[in-house]
Amino acid sequence: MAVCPALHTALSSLLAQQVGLNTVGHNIANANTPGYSRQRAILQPATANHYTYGAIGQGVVIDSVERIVDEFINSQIRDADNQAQSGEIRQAAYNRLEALFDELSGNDLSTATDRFFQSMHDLSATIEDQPTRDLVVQEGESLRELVNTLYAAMTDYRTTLDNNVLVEVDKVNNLLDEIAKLNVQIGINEGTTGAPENDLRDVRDSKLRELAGIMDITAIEQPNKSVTVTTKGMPLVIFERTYHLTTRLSTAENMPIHEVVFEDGGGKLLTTSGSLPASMEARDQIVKGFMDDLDQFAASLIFEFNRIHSQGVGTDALTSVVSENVPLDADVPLDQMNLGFTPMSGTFTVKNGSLTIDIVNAATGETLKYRVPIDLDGVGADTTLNGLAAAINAAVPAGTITASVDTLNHLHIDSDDPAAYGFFFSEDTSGVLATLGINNFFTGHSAGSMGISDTLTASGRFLATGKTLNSGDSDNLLALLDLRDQPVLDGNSKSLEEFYRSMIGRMATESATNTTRLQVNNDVLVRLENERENMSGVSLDEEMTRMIEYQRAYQASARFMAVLDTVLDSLINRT
Amino acid sequence: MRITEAILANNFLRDLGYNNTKMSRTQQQLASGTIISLPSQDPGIAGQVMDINDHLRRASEYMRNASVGTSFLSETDNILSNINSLIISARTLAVHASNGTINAAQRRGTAAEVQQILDEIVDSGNRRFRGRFIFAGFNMLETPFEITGDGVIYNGDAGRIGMRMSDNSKNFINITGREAFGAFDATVQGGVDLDPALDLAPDGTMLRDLNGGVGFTPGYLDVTYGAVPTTVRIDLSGAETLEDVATLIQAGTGGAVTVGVDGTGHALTLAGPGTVTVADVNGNTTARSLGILGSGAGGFTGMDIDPRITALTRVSSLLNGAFDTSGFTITNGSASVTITAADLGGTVQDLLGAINNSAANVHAEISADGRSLDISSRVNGATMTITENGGTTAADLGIASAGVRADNIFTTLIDLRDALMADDGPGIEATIAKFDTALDKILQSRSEAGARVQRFDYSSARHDDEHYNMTALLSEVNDVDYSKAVMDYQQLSNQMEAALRVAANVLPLSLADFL
Repeated sequence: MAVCPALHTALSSLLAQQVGLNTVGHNIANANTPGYSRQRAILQPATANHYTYGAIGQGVVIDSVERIVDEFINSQIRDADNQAQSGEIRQAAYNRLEALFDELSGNDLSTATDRFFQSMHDLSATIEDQPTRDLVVQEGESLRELVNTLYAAMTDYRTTLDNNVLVEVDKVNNLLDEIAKLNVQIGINEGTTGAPENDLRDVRDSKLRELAGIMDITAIEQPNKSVTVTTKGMPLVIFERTYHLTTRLSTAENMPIHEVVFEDGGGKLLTTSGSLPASMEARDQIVKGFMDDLDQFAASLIFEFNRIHSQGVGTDALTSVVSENVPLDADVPLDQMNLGFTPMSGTFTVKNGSLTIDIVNAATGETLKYRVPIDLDGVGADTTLNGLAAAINAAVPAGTITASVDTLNHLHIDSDDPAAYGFFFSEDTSGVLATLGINNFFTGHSAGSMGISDTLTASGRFLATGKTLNSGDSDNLLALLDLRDQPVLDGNSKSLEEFYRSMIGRMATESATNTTRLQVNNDVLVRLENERENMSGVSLDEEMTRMIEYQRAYQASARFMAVLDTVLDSLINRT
Repeated sequence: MRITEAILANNFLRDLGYNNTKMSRTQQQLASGTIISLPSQDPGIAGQVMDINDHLRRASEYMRNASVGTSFLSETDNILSNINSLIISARTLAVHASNGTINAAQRRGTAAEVQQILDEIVDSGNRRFRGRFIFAGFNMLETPFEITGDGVIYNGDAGRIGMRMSDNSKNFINITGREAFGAFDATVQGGVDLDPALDLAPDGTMLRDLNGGVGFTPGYLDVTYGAVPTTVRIDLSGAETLEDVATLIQAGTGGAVTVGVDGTGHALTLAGPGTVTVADVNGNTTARSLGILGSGAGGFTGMDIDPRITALTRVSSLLNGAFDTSGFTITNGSASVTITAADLGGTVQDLLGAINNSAANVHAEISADGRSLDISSRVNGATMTITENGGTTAADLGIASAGVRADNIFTTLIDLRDALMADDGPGIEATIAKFDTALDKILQSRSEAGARVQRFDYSSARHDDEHYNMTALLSEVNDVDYSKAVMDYQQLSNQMEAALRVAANVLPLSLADFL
């Protein structure tokens, strides 16, 4: 029997144990590397030599160095991370909204509204007192400033979210490129050697996980060792070919927001979860939803308050008014006017009714009423803006007031002799005054455009507190105060107070629900990661133990080799 | 099960995070004193808090209003009490002076005292509260009472100042000169129902003035017409005037059925082909409120729908135009005004304006039931007569009067003074009973004021209770229970310490230390 085969056996052992030790060392070195899967050297007994008397083993060969990984857990982790990232983005949005609205703090919109109505309430006790009147205008100013600020802040946040979208799309494209590159490399390397590219695969796995956090993907390994990545059936990476995403400006709104489409062909991105779709959801549904609610609140407040205000008079009669809102076409019936903006539900509409103008004769102190019918019954010729001006002029005596429409379609009503005649409106059943913005308190038609009429900012004398010029008449002020609790929103079912409260309630509930979901998601994610650790994580104690095994085996093999050396020495040198 | 270092570390960090979150929340509760600082921390509590705050706000407002009302009425009552004493003094003077043993010179001296009392009562009536005249109604910045040769003129009106003192009621906080002094007692109340004719012009009769002011029920009605009966449902919910109704019915039936006014001017007529029938839909009363529920071949006449008189009613439509237009003259003490045919050519407000803005110191208005005109003299002491101007206008309109004179404290004092100056014994005696009547009136107003103050107090007390209860409820709902919170915090703190200690002992263990 030859000695040399035994040397081979010893040698194979030394090499194998070394590989084992290397693997252990690699594991220990990467114990804290995120996404690392522990590797194990798989040793097999070498093919035996067959003799007539039997088989003699030839030592150990290394079959492969494998990483211990469960692809199923990986895909579950990707899904959980995807949900968790969505939840985080939504949570950030709700947190930002709650911080903006700052309800329950005393610096919020409901307090500002309270103070505004409170100032009117205080006025009701001393209705002719000018400083108290001016105070009402100032509180109105504070209220509208807060509304404007809230709206602007939410608009800014939408822009931030939009920027997020752009950043996420860049990240996606970079990740797709890297995955494609890894596909190629792994394919080549594994093709040449046949051995698994453990570390590169780990890197590819972590890129896939990062991508899954951004949008939901399906990743399937192909026979050619590449991973095909798709999202909702649309390809993202096929071997080395990537399908990039791009953004384009959406025409859906007045402010610049982007939608995400595929570069190639412009197909829409259909994913619904992940930080990218969540950013778009936060931008277009969550934040926008509350902006729409704030708009509805503001528009209804403006319109209904103006409606009551326009039907009253302050301590002085008016001598000149100009409408704020103008229709595109002054010859269109008043209930079909296009005012240049889309009115929120239940606001800025005119219906069949009449307008009563009261003309005050300064010399005699007499006030006479004149009714102007506003014909919008859909039969015959309905009243247009031009028609309204003509009807006003026809209803009042000559030489008192004149109504006219200028080139920009503003309606002007002017006293022909301000020293002799003043006017006001004691009734408007059609809503035309509030729609056109005549004798109004608030200007604008939405949360962003809300303002206070210049006439009132100049002097509180024109705050319409009475139905007549009698100094003690506070009937209109009482009507304004009653507005707070009247159901004018949501198809006439909710008051301003209730609408606002249900908006905040909705914000609170949605936020609380999201927090709970996020917590659950995070818990699931941690559990899955622990499972992954269980399977693929490095346990230092385990590695230590294996290290001792390999070390002792190496020592024993080295000893064996020394013994063989003495045997050979005896054979060669002592004979 | 393999537990790697990473698992131990992750679990520890996660639990540490949870603990920290809970501790931070408890800290926030302790610092702020409330259970929630953001609505999302507990939407249920947030909703309740907002609702309670709303109730608190309302209760405060109502209490504030009640206190304003109470102080206004208390001041009113003080003044009335003052006036009460003055009237008693005057009565005493009258009793004394009616004695036959008093001579003319003494009576003249007493007359001066009576004048003094009159002046003082007028001054009291002109008292102000926080800069506004108390008895002037809405005319709060103009002196309500002034003395002239004819008597005491009242410049105020009947305006009632309202303030909301509970969810469903508006309470009035003033008493006008009319109520307290009978300042408008010299009134000619229109004795004829002026029943204005229906007006189908675009600025004519408004539907809300029909049926004596009850108005009309908006909704649908069915019109059937034609040789081959066709039924059309007409939507009148947007209609505001009779002209709207006529237009909509005519348009809805393609012009086949027309609407007009009958000869008496009191009812609508419908005319159309075949048998014209109007019916209500689903138990509504739209057609009935227009008086056109019915049917007839070729059309039919509806029922009297009795419109109110309004400022914009044309004078020519009163009594369906069946009255003389020569006009009338109102004489009030030394002043007068003549209403001519020209003044009767416009609307009711023109007629009222002509009367009210004249120098005659009269106040004309539409009566409360909307059927006629009331004309009152503002001058207490003068006799107002309404006489014809060559025709029968005043009688036709039911406002003719041979003379009315107020019978209140002002006129009684003036009569007493004049009787004293004229040494008129029976005249003086006649005034004594009248003082009793005036005292009754003052007493009535004082009781009214007192009753209202009582109501305000009651309402205020209720709201005070509500405020108290709501504040307690708010505390229950959202205030932190300090003992519980501090104990929770202590417990969490202990938990935290234990977790840290265990981690410190377990995490560093490694086989490497033993090899």
